[in-house]
Amino acid sequence: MPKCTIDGKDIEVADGTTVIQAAEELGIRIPRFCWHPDLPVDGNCRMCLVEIEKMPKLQIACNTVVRDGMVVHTNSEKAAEAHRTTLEFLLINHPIDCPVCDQAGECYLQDQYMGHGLYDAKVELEDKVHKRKVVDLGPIMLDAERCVLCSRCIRFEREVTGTNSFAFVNRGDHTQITTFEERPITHQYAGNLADVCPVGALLSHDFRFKMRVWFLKSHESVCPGCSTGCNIFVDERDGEVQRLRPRRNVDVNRSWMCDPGRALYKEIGLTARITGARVRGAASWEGVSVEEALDLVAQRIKDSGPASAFLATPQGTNEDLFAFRSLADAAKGMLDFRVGDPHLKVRQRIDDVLQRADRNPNTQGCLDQGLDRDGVDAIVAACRAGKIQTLVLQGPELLRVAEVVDALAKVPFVVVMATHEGPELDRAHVVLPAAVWAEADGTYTNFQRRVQRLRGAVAAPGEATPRWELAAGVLERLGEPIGATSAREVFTRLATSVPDYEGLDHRAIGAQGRALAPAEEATSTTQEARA
Amino acid sequence: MELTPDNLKAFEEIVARYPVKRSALLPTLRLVQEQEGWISREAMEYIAKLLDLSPAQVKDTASFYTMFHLEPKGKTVIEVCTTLSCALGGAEKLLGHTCRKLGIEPGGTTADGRFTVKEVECLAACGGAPAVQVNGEWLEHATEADLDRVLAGETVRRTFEWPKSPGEHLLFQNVWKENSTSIDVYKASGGYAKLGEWLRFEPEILIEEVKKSNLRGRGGAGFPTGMKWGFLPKESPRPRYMCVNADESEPGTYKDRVIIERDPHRLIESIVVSCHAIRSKTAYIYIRGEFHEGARTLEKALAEARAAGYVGKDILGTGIDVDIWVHRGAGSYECGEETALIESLEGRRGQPRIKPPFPAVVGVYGCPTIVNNVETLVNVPLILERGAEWFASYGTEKNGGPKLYSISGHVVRPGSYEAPMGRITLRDLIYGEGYAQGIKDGRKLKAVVPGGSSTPVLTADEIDIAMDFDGVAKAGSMLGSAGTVVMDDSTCMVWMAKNLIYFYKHESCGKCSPCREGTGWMLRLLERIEAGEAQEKDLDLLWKVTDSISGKTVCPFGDAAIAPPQSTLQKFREEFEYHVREGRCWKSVAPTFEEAKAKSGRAVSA
Ligand SMILES: Cc1cc2nc3c(=O)[nH]c(=O)nc-3n(C[C@H](O)[C@H](O)[C@H](O)COP(=O)(O)O)c2cc1C
Ligand code: SF4
Ligand code: SF4
Ligand code: SF4
Ligand code: FES
Repeated sequence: MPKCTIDGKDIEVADGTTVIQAAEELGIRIPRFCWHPDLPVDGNCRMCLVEIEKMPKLQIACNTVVRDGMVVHTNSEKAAEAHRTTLEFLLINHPIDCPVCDQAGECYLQDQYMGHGLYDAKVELEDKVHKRKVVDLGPIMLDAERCVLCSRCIRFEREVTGTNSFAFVNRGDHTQITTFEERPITHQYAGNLADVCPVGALLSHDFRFKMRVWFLKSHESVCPGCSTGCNIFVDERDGEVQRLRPRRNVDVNRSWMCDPGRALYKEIGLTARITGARVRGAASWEGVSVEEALDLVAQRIKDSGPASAFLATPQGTNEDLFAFRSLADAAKGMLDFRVGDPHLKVRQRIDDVLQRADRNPNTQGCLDQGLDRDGVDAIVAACRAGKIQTLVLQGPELLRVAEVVDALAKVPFVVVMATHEGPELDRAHVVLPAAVWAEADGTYTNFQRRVQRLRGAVAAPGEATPRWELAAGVLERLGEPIGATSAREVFTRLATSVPDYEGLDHRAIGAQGRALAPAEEATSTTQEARA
Repeated sequence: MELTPDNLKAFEEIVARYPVKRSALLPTLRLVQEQEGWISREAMEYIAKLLDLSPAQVKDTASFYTMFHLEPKGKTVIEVCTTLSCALGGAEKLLGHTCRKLGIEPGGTTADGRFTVKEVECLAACGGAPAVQVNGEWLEHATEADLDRVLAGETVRRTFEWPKSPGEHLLFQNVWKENSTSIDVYKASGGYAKLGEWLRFEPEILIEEVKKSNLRGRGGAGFPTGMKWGFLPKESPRPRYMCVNADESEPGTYKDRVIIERDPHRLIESIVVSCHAIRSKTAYIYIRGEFHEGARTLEKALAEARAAGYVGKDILGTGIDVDIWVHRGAGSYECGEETALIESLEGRRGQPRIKPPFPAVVGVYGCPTIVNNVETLVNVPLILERGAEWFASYGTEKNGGPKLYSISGHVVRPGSYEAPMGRITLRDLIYGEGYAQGIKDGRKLKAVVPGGSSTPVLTADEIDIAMDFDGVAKAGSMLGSAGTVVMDDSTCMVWMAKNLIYFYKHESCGKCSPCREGTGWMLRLLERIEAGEAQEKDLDLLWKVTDSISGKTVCPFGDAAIAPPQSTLQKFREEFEYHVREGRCWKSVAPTFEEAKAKSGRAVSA
């Protein structure tokens, strides 16, 4: 474990740590373009030059491994001068069009030259090598003129997706970034290209010209798109989610996320959201308040007793699941969650990057809480046999299964918690408006059994309510209050009863999640961990 | 498009030479170009399929190298070298003449598709200036009359006649013999006689001998060869590779070419024994693409050597296997840098890798690799034959053995000469009767680039130095690859710096920003200065740009590129100032700077 000093601060780091990483740990940001924590080091931009005592030449921080006793100056006169001149070199062929560039605010180049007061550096703008204008690559727009040839996009496509769509053509200062024949990007990780590009050369088509990034507020969260559970930021402005972007977690998604996951923000604010409760009347639906709906549901559950059944949803947070299970227990009804067998797919990859076949974020949480109890088939059979009086669905999954329509028709009272409108809801008798993932605090447990937090980023529309709160409302009415008024408190209760979760709470889970002992391999069908 | 059945067979054979398929990319591009005349978009997609690459990867590589034509080209391709030595020999005029006659610009193709004329960088034919290649065949000492005949459809070839060096010929002992490339001539001179004996030595003993001999690398850096071999990790299960650096592209240098074209078996035997010393079973000779004749000669010699059992499996019954493959480059100076060479050998753009790790630990295919220059290796049999002590004492202290010196430019008798390392001075080389015999046309010596374009220029007063690594270093320059370029007093030093910066800008691989952008910046400044359009502060700016590149690049190319402008600015600043002050080059005023200065009638700062 070598110790070194960077800008007067001491730090001890693991063997093999580079100077740029050590500085990062100290909160010192060494300027860089080509280095990216999750891509192989290429050392091409020469921006990260630092002065190291006893070394005659400046060294690049990104490829210099910390040795014991090293004394590093990241901003000495020599180092600062090198940063300035390197920047000048990069600006020779770069248009300074920040006022119209979408990267503005997230651009390393802009940060750097502003920092160096180089607005009108003596770069020879008139001689700039002419390059083409913006090219549409499908999900990505390419503006080669802004490219600083850092090769991050090429390395990303080589190391992460293996797709190799980008090429540098020609050499020297004629080098240009392009795809073969300007063909569009077709893989499902294109959004990351815009993220890795340190300047405005690769921009997301989706976000282009939408708004200046400094208007956005970011919230730490977890993608609900599949059992991988990529860590993300939810970027929102005035209560409206504008984009999702990856949040680095080396144990889960590194710095990446998939495009389908990235697109999920679009569903949050859709007009088809359910914003209030409703009850089926003789002829049509009647709107009621959530309170009234919960009164009705509680009454029916009480009346039905063990003739009630409960189906949880792996879309729910652990807190949702815990409250729902408590409700099933209180009613002594049947319980399960495995509509569509998500538990068989939870660890199954569908590509070599991130995505998994189980498109639910919390199947593992369901399993951990023992929600795989009575069997979906048994519950459906009981319905079909007329033995179920009240069926409570935490999500609409079962309503969408064509084979069970006849069985559902035998149940006199079907309650469903739902976020979005859909024809299947007509098979229920009561619809309760549920908040979506981005509107509530909570936790998911991903395929690795890593418990991760998501935070409410925006307010739920209308009377839409977190699912755990809906369940807690019913429990309250049944006289068995859950004894918690926030997701955090629900989790604390959960932690006392679910094996392996003991001692955990929201704070302990933190921003990077907490790994539990890995699950038995029984359900795993594919190999894990690609470096 | 598809490869013909014969070419497809050739392709299969090529792929089998490499442990990694992508390595076959450069040879495959060449095969396709030979078949189709150029490399089309369809061809790139076809090659991508053949080699399991994406079309973008193929284009990424293909577009890096100047010898791959991604546009249709003429039936006859005329390539005129315009780098320093050839430019001193009148290349620019020759190029202008040819282009004018065809009515095209350099780089262009005639409308009837018969001719393409290209301006190319140093062809390692500096003695044969101005050097031209016509469809890859040498036409050295080319004249306008030669080119007229080529344009008339004739085949004109001419190869430089290397003059004999005085004294003992060790490395060059065969090159003037009749049929010198044949295995019989090589064997008659004692070649391959002791190979079996050497292969029975323990490798460590051979390395020890090479260490004791004080052999230093002849590729440019002068790194002790035995020490480099000693860096190979002792306990690595991975195979080891030898890469023979036959990329000879440093302007002014044309000495490896002599061995390759005239005495290939000497190189082959040297590779076999060196591979044994480093326990490598495979060597790739990375030969620059422009050495068409050299590649043919090596292939033929290798076939002979294989047939005779000197190369291949179980050589001479020793149980030692060494395979040697010729891998041709495709037009890129930077591919002479050892890690760029490795990248190129792996089928990628010729861009260097960052170090560490060093090739001896992680080289080609991620395996321990030794990269050595051709001339370095041909010294190894000499060491084994005559002993390390003899070798060490043959040159000067810490500079063992014989050395090959190339000299070109304004001299009477350009050539590549052999002499004991450091036992001759730069003055001997330039003026010696047995060497270059002085300055042409009775003119005065003005400046010398002692060791290839990357070494700082010396003035006429700085030539009394021993031509070994330490001697030239003492004078503030470098022995480099010992490619000496001599300039007489008719040479404008601003023009000279511009000529070489043009070379460096053209050859910069573009990987790192200071060199990629800085070479172009320096060129623009020098063009402006030469044209008399610059101001005094541009001279300081030029110096600042060199300073901003110095020591900050991925590979030593950056430091190489600033040697010409820095050293000329330091030693010939007067000439730069003249251009600024007078608004023109002194050559438009008088044949020498001294005369021009006198004419301007004003005092000139020192
Ligand atoms: C820009 C550049 C070009 C080079 N070109 C050559 C070359 O053409 N031939 C060569 O042998 N070495 C060349 N070198 C040196 C090689 O990197 C390497 O040092 C050499 O091949 C090692 O062999 P040696 O130890 O036998 O000299 C070049 C280096 C640089 C930086
Ligand atoms: S497009 Fe962006 S990521 Fe790609 S090389 Fe250029 S600057 Fe780097
Ligand atoms: S892989 Fe899964 S969790 Fe990650 S971003 Fe995509 S959908 Fe979301
Ligand atoms: S110094 Fe940089 S740009 Fe120049 S040749 Fe080396 S790696 Fe390429
Ligand atoms: S960040 Fe180190 S060289 Fe680019």
